[in-house]
Amino acid sequence: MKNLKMKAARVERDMKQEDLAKAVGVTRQTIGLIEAGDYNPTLNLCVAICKTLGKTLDELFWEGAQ
Amino acid sequence: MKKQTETDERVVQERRRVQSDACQLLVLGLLLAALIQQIFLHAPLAQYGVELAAALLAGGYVTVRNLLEGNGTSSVYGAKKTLLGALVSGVLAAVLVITLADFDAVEALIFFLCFVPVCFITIQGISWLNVRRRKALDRTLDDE
Repeated sequence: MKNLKMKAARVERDMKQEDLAKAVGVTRQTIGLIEAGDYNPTLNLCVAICKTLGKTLDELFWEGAQ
Repeated sequence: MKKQTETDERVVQERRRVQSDACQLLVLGLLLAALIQQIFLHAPLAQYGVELAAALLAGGYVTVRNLLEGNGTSSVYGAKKTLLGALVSGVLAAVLVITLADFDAVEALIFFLCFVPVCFITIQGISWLNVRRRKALDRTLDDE
């Protein structure tokens, strides 16, 4: 399932996939795969992405969250 | 750029998966090479011994390492289940030695009688050690 919430949060922050990737220490492909729903990140990476985007885990990764 | 790639968990994970697959293919190749030389080419042990030893050592390493790490979800196999497995393996192995290694019936029977207890003890022992290791891990986690 695509992670549109993460993509929206990234765009909201005016960040490209490459910028986010650099900030959390992964490759751009990994960010792209997470947003496309083709890679299941570890909790550590989820937390790093949340901190960078200023969101909580619920807001970005919980399927039922608004 | 190089550092970034090395710390990417997905890349590391994929790299490990590829290496694991390559290792499995290598062991399978070694085993096949040894079997082909032994069965079809009737080569002496000295010719395929290194391949066979490497394949067996690799298999042993995987088993022991998993055992020490406490990997596995099954409980200790019941004696009946293990015995059944050993008997089936023994029959298959006996058929193989009769057809491929030209054993006669008496030799095959002796082979079968030696094979079954060794197989039974090995499977039961590995299972017991694995469960023991997992219980030790559980105790450590309970203490924390």
